[in-house]
Amino acid sequence: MAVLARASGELRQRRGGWRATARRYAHVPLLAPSVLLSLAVFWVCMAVLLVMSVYPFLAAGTPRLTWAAWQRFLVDPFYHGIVGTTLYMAVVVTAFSLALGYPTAYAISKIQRPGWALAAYLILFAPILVSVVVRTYGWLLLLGNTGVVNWALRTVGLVREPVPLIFNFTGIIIAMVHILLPFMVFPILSVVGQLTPDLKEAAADLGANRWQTFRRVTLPLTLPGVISGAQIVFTLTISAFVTPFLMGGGKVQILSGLIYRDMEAVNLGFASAVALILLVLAAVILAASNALARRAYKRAEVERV
Amino acid sequence: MRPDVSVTPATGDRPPRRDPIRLVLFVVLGLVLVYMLAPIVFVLVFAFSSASYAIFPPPGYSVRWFMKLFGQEPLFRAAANSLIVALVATAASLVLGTTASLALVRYRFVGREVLRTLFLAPLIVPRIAFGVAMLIYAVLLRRFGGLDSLMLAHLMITLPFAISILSASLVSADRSLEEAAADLGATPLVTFWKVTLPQIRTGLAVSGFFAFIISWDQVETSLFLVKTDNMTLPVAMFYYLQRQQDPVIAALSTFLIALAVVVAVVAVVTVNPRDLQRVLSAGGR
Repeated sequence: MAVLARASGELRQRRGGWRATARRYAHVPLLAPSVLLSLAVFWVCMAVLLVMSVYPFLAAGTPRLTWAAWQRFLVDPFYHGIVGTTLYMAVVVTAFSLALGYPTAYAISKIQRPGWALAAYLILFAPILVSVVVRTYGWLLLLGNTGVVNWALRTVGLVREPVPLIFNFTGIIIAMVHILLPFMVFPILSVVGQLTPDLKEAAADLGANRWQTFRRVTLPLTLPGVISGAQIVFTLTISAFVTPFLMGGGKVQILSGLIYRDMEAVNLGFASAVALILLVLAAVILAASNALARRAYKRAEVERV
Repeated sequence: MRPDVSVTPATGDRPPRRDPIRLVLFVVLGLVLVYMLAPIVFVLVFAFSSASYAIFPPPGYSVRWFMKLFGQEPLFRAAANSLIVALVATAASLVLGTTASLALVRYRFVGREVLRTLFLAPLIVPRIAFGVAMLIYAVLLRRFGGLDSLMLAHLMITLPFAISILSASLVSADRSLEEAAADLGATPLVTFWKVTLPQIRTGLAVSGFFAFIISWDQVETSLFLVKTDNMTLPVAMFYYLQRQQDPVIAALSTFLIALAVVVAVVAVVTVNPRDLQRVLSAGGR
């Protein structure tokens, strides 16, 4: 069949004419609408953002070239603090997601009854379909001063006064980890599912204890999943808005909240600069972790051979 | 239901039941599942609370928040807007995603990799940053506040997902079948319709599903693009929560959660878990 197809293909090419030309350029009409739309909307948008950050042409009065929006970030320590808090939040959320996500993925791969595995899948997957606003609202209800968690703590007798769990950093972390955990679990699950028991048995036969087996065999083999999960969680956290904004109640300053406030103040030049800083941050982190992931993949390949 | 057959591991070098590490793993899994369900369950509880603020245990139960919800005309308009925008963005990203992926996978031409990068770049741009850019763009084009700019904005976000999923399923589709159809005299359109399309059905379903979810639950990109009297549902809920926290949003959430559960069950049962994993691994949010 393949030989026949190739032969007829050559015949077609030799025949030439307008049909062959049409077939040769068939990808042009297929691509044209998407390319034009992507250029005219997305890429123009990115250009507009860049221009706006140095030349706020929609502002009142005659527009002029200004570096004020960028200067703010280079000079003012207050804004360095905001970048720092944003990155710190992402580090903490990623660390907790990993600490919870790895054992979760591992346990799911060990479930022997297909029905239970499906249920675990469903419970991890279904929250993604519920609006982030609804889930954040759920955490506000749970963690408030008169909420469930504080009621439980008081009832058990652990505390007398309600513990402040919302409108602070703690609340942001609890809710953010909840929202991003599936994005950590599923990539890890897809590599853990490919682990074969023979490697572990080989390690055990060679006298490795369980910790050594985990550190030298399981962990390196699952590292690609860990890295891609961490990548997603980290980049989604630095750019998240709804959950940090509602859970932080304006008490915790991060980049996305700064964009929102600049937009409310109709300070488009400043908002554009912050948006670009966020974009650069995300791109740099992605590039760095991609380099890391390539190394991990290479190692995983080597160990598998 | 299929019969429940417990599989005993054949290796049998250590009894799996008494293993403390295994026990710890399953305790963590149990706690994580409780953690995942907790906020959703308590939203449902508070929808029926008689108090107007978040207090547990509720002083009593009532359905008055549902009554108040049914009087909130703006929320219903917002839901209709969300539905229209999500449907248009999904349909457009499926059509454009299929044609673009066909060209990227089935044709060799100069600049293919550049185009692929051009298409997938929106994936790394923070949603809120794109929202700022879209607002400026919409103001420049004097289309601020219209559903059309919302649809375009959502399409820019859903299209990269559609292209990456559909490209993957086109790569794994059997190409010799297409060639055979062409040799038997089928026109390219007929070949596509009768041979290619049925092979990428799953890819279409998965990317359509995620395009819809991403658009339906989009806050960051829509936030600046909507006018106060013409919102989308998640943005309307976001603003409502900023003003007041009475359980009207909880009452509304019961419907959204019910919808999500139905969709999740259908998705997990019909779609191959591997496909779900692949999309989630790509950061489908």
